[in-house]
Formats: sequence, C-alpha cells, structure tokens
Amino acid sequence: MPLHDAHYQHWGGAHTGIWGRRWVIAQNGLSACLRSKLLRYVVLVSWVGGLLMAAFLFFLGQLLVPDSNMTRWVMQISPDIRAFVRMFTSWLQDHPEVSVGTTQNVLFYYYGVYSMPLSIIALGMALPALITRDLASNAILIYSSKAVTRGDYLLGKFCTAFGVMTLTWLGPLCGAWFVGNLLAPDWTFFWHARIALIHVLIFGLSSMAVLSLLALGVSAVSSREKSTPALWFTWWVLGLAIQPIALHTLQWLRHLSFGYNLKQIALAVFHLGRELQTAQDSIPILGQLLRQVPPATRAALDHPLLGGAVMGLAVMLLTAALIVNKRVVPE
Amino acid sequence: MTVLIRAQELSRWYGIVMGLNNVTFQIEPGLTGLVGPNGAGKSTLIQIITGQLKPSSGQLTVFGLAPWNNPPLLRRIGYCPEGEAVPKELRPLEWLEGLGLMSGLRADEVKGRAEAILDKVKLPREHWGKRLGQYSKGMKQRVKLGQGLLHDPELLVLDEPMNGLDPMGRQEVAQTLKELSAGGVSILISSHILAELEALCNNILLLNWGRILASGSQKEIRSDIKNWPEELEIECDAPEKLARHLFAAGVLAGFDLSPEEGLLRIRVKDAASFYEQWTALLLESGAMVHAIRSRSRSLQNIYDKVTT
Amino acid sequence: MNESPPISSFRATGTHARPGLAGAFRGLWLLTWRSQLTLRQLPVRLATLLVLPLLVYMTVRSTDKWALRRVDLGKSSEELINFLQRLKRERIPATVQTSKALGDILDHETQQSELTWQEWTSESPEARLQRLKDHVANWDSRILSRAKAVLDDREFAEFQVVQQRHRDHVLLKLTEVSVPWSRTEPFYHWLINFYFFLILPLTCVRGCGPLIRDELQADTLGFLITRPVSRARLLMLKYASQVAWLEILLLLETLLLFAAGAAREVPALGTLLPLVLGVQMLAVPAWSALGLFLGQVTTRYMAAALLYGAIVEMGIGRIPTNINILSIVRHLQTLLSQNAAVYALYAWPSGKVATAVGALLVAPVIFLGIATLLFSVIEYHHAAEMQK
Repeated sequence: MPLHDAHYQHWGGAHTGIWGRRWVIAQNGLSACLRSKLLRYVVLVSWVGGLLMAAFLFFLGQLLVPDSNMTRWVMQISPDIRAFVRMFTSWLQDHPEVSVGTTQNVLFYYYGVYSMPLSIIALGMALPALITRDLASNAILIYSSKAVTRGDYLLGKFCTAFGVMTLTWLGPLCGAWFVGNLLAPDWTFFWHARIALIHVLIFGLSSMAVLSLLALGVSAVSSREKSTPALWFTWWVLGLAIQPIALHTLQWLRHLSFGYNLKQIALAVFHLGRELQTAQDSIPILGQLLRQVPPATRAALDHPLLGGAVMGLAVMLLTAALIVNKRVVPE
Repeated sequence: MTVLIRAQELSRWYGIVMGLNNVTFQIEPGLTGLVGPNGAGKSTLIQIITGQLKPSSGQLTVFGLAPWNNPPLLRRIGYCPEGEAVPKELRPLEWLEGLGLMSGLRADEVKGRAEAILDKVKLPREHWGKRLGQYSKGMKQRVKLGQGLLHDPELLVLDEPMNGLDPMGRQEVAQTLKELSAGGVSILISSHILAELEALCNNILLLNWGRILASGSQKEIRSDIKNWPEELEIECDAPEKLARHLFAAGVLAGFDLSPEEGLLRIRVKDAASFYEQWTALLLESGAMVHAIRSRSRSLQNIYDKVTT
Repeated sequence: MNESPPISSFRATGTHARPGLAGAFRGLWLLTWRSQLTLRQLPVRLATLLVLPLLVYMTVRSTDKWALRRVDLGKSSEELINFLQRLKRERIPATVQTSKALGDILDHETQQSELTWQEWTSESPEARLQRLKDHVANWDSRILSRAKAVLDDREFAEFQVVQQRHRDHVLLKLTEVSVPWSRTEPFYHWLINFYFFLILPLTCVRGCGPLIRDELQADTLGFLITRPVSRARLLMLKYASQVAWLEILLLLETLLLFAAGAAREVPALGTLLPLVLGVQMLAVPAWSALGLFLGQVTTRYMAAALLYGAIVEMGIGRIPTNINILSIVRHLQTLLSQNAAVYALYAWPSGKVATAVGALLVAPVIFLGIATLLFSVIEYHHAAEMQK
C-alpha cells in the first residue's frame, strides 16, 4: 500500500538487553575521553613504551642464542666481553626458569609499576567524561528516565575508566609480553614466562579496578570540569610528597597515597624480594651487583606492607562509594 | 543631528568566518533596535561598540572615540550582555557595589545607588539576600540590567534584555527603557522579540550575514521597499461577501480567507487608490467590519521581507 | 501601570570622573573576597587550613614522649601466638606453664632491649647500622638461651624457626630508615619542604592562574572589561586583590603551623616565624605572578607550572650556572637559610640576601608586565575559550 502510517508508533523491533545498554554507556564514555588530543597522545606514548619493552625482550632473547647476530655483535666489542658472554649465555640456556621466568617477572614488575603514572595521568584527563560532566549538564536525570538503573550507569562509567586504563596500561603490558615472547628464539619462552603474565594480569586487573572506582569517586566530587582533575592530580602529588616525612614519622601516613598502596600490592604479587633473591643466588655477576642494593631498599622489597595497603585502599574505596552514593542521584 | 555611533567600512572576522562584512552605518541618539537572525552579527557589533572586540578592518566610533581600551568612553556606556552568566557566589548588592566602585562611584554613595537601581529594575527586596546563583532567569536579567545602569551612562547597550522575562517583566523593562530614553539616555537594544522592539524603538538596524540590510525608522524602510503590496487583515462578520465585492472592484492583488475565524487577509495593488475607495467599497459590500490591521507595517513583516 | 522609582542622575552632579586606583581596587577586592569566602565554602576552607597543622601535631613528638621512645622490636605477644599456632600445626602439645614462662621471657627481654637502645649523635649511618644489628643479635641470643631452659627439644626447634623469622622481620623494619630524624625535624620538613615549596606555590598558581580564564569561561568577563578601567589596570588590580586574599589565607596557615609546632615544643620558633612570614610575603606575589602569566598564555596553566617547576626550579636552579638566578626556589632558600636551624638541616648553597630579595621583587614585575601586555593587546572571547 502506497501510504504508510507516519504517526507516532511504539517500537516493535528487538530490544537490546541490559548489557547492551551498559555497553553503550561505556562506549560513549570512552569515545568522549578519546576526543581529547592529549589523551590520545598518552595512549600513543604508552604503546610506544610497550613496543620498546617488546624490543628489549627480543634483545634479551637473542642473547640466549649463541650464534645470533646480536650475540656476535656484542662479542665483537672486546675479547673479555666475548668470554663473559659465552659463559653467561651458556649458563642462561641451562637455567631457563631463571633466565626467562625470573627476568621477565622482574622486568614486568618494573615496567608495570613505572608505567602506572601514565595511566594515572590518563585517568585524570578522563575524569570530566566520567561523572563530572553529567553532573554539570544534569544528564543523570536523562539517564534515570531511561531503562537503566543507577547501578547500570555506574557500571558503564566504571567500564569507561577501565577501558582508558586498558588502552594505556594493561594493553601495552600484555602486548609487550606477547610480542616479546613471539619474537623469542623458542616457543618455550611462552611457557617459562607464564608466571610473569599471570602476575601482570593479577596486578593489572586489580589495580585497574581500584583506580577506576577511585576515579568514579573523585569525578563525582564536583560538577566543575577543572576541579576534578585538579583534585586527582593534587591527591597524587601530595601522596608522593608525603612519603619521605611519613617514613620517618608515622608510617601509616604513607598509605594515604594510592600510588604507594598499589606499589605494595605489586611487590606482593610479583614476589619481587624472592625473585631478586633467586637472581642474586643464581645468576653469576648479577648476584654481586644485587648484593650492593642498600638494606633499606631490600627491606622494602622483601616485606611489602600489604595489610596497610589493603586497608588504606579499602578506606579510600569506601569514601569514594559514599561520595558517589550521595552525588549521583537524579535531582 | 549628532551621531552617536558611526561605523565606516567596518569588518570583523573570526578566522575565515565573517562576523561583520564591510558595514557602514550611523546611529543617532534615541531608542534604536538591532534586529537580525542568529549569526547575523548583532553580538559582534555590540561587543565592538562596548570595547570588548577590535575591528578587523574599518573603524567604529562611539561619541567620536574608538571604544577599545578606552576608559573615559566606557564611563559613558552601560552594557547588559546576553546570556544568564552572573557571579554565582555573590549577592546582588555585593556585586553592584563592587562594580559601582570600579565605575567611579564613591564608597559612601555606592550602596544607596545599588539599592535604588535594584528597586528601579523591580527586583523584589525579599530576594536581595539570596546569591545570584539561586536566581531565576528573569531575576538575573533584572540584576544584569541594573549593573548596566549603575553609573548613569549616556548610552545603554542591551543584548537580548527581554530573554527569560515573562510578559509582565518585559513590559516593565520596556517601561524602564522608555523612561530612561525620555531622560536623555540613548539605548541600543537587540532582540528577537520583534513585537516589543516595534513598540519601543524609533529606529532599527537590520542585519543578516554580517551585513546591514536596512537602517532608519520603520516608515522609512518600508517606503524604500519597492513593489511591496499593502497587506491588511480585516476582521468582519461576512469575509466571503467582502472578498467577492473587493475582487469584483479590481483592487485586490490577492486574498486569504479564514471564515471560521472571521478573518480576511488582502493584498492590494495600489495602496493609495485603495484607501481612497475603501469607505465606499465597504458601505457597498454591506459587511460589518470589527477590526483592520496592517500586516505589512509590522516589524516582523519588514524583517521577513528584507531577510528573504 | 506602576512607574519605577526615579533615580538621581550622576550627570547632573558631575560624577563622571574615572574611578581612582583606590576605588577600582576596593571594588575588585570586594568582588574577590566575597566570592571566595562564603558560608558554603567555609567547612572546606577550614578543613584545608587545619589538615597540615594537624599532621604536624601528630608527627612531632612532645619532649616527654621523645624521652620515652624506644627501638621497636615488635610485639612479643604476637610472636608467642605464632609459636603456639606452629606447635598446634606440628601436633606438639604445649602446657600453660610453658606458654607463660616463654611469654614472660619474651616480654622481659624485648622490653629491656628496647629501653637500653640509645641513639648517638654524630654517628655514621654505617656504624649505627652495625650497632643496631649487634643489639638485635644480642637480644636474639638472650631470648634463645633463656627459652632453651624452659622448652623441650622439639618445642625449642620450632621456637628457633619462629624467633628467626621474627628477628629478620624486626631487623628489616629497623634498617628501613638508615638515618633517623631528630624530634623536631619533622616540623621543618612539613613547614619547608611540604608547605613552603609545594603547597604554597601550587596554591598561588591555582589562585592567580585562572584570574581571567575563569571569568571568560563563566562569561562574566564582559561585566569587568566594560567598566571605565583600562585593561592593564584591571588585570593589575585583579592580581593585587587576589594576592592580598592569598597573603591573608596563607598567613593564617603559617600561623596555625607554628601554633602546632609551639604546642609540640619546637624550640626557637620566635626567631623563625618573622623570617618565614617575611619570605612568604615575597614568595606569594612571585608565584602568583608566574601563575597569572601562565594562565594568560595557556589554558593548561597547572601543567605548565609543573613543567616550569621541573625545568627551572628542579633543573636549572640546582645547577651552578649563571642562569640559576631564574629559580625562585633558590632565592627563597637563600633567605630561609638566614635561620640557623634551617641552615643546619638543609645546608643549601648560600647566595646573597640582597640579590635574593631583588630577584623576588623583580620576578612578579616581569611576569605581571608580560601578562598585562598580553591582556591589553589580545581579545579574550568566550566562544573561542569554550572551544579550547
């Protein structure tokens, strides 16, 4: 029939499920974050770091192959280095768990912990797109009029923050592990380096969850776009600044810094103290170098303050939950 | 006659976008309306007049002086911007006192002056204790108008001052502006509410696409537009009968009927000749006429005609 | 229709003069402090003022508590519990008398060792570390020899494992800090490192950076620049009123910090306070002017300030070259070093006081001058600002 009914009609097509709607909130949030040129630069820098890490793993892997171009090039430097490299590489080939497993575990600890600031910066830039702008524009009222609950909305925003950090942290970490081992001289590298990957996933996923929840709390503090990133960065910087004073006075003050708490969790997950002890006891020459690490530093590595870190993070998360509960309500 | 504002080949661009395109005009003292659609260049022109922007080329003078960074000139100009933005944390008296001191009022007189201004713009006293962030749109508009009047300017420039006001409020603002104009203050007002401007302004300045399309009084503009048939709206008891009679008399260029409303809208070929015959034609038709309105004389009509 | 009340015309009385400097400043001062001191903001302001003095009070021990301080050899009760749990796992029965006897030994030896430890002044960190290790080893051997008398062989074997772990944990915790601080040292670190060189500059930059940008983004700049005040004068007076506000706020904070220090009997505060207040009076305009200049140049003025801090203050300022005169921190250090306690603690390289004062007076003039020039010449447009 030529004429169609153009009047208002109820939607008769298929409805997406609740996860589809949550995905839309997360996806829109992530798109809003990625509109920022600076954030895109941070993502780029993070992946460049991942590539460099993969290149370094490739380099290390090549050193384990006696007749590789890398080994031949290094051995050309001087006769002493040639002798050292021969002895070192033959030892490493006999002890793959240490040469591959321990080395990658230690490397990924340092890469994971020292690339965390980039993610913190990225999350700070993404804060306005989480809850802040929605508070300013009353979009929460619009969301609440749709078929999504407050929990769905928050879950979607949580996934936005999680997505940002996947792009800047977990993605490059896992990518570096995969590419680094793909470029290894042997497929067994994947097996020997499995522990490092497991540790990366445990630490990465748990830290990202914690940081995402904290970010939600901070982004709900104010409806002003400039205030929430300022609060986030101020908290981070002051947390770092307080460390030297706290170390000499009230040690629990160190746990006011989320960066410090997450570092303690990293130490516990990666068992860095134990790994360094293994490396010190097993690997020639490196052991002598590691013995020169100051006792204070070794003490910190061997005994992470996990209990305090967990309690500190729990208090922060509780505060964030209270803030979100109070602020994210349709007016 | 003295010229208040003179623009000579004035242009202003934002990157590759032309805000004002080589405009030349003069504004004389009195009440002048600035009319144009969104993006016509009204706010740009107002911001140049009030010294917030510089011309990209050409020149504009107010009281014979260039407004940019010109404190003696700014003493003579009052400005009420578009938009709802006001300092949210301040109370109206606090804000007006601060601005008043900045405008040269003495410390001992500024408070009294601020209170008098708030009374003049009819902001109820029971709201004076609240912060500006808690005000409705209309209340903010009144306070904004008040800050423009604080230092008794000779020229008051208002960008969409009726926005957010209810009909009563618009009437009160219009009354205030008429009183100011009668007191010797020149007013330049931009608005989309053309009916109010029509009743308020002696002269209008029509803008579109950054160009001046017309300037002068409404009568001058209308008479300048050629081949523009007179349009009338007649409210009567037998519109069909009247239409048949007028059509037979050969005076109509066209007509529209709304019998259910009792309305007949006609376009006449020759206005002068029509008016000479009108009384006779009406008596002959036998129709009972309740009201006649000229649609072509309205500012809306001029605006539509000029901007299409 | 009601007519609006007539108001007197100033033109009749000739009040058409331009506002004087004092009048304009008074107006801007009114707008500045009234918008920043509101009842709604008061709890947050009070909390931020009190946090740092509270931290000082908590971390500086009183002379009495300091005299009673001991080296921390851990909780003997926890060690006893660990031992009993280990015995239970190994299915070794433990009697009440044995537990009590061992508990008494642990309490007694731990207390004695904690009390007998003395910190020596002018002892090298290496010597202190060795002495600490020897002290812990002595404590450990005394416990083991006394425990052997009350425990049987199986119990003693298990106890040795527990005691070794406990000893290692205690030693690692004690060696985390190689050079312990004196009683009053935390006060100076809070005051100088944390407050003076971190909080104060950040507060000033945050306070003055968005002086124009905030007005622009809120679309209220038009109300100010259409007043009969030149753009240069407007910016300078806005800066002056904001600096005055910051001086008052930071004066309060400094006084509260010193009050906390006095409550904890930090000596010689009477000579330090005037110096700190005087240097602060110079520091606030300098940092504020820097913030204002950065705010005129970029919307990301805080990031720019951190970059400035990294490059100029932490980089150039620490290198002995001719251009380290650019570092504001360096000049502040020169002035603060005039206090003996501060100098003894930090031993900053000393410069000339006159140069430092001169540089701190010139810096705001330069930054403010450039900012004023920019503001006088550049238009600031709300629509363009919102697109950034």
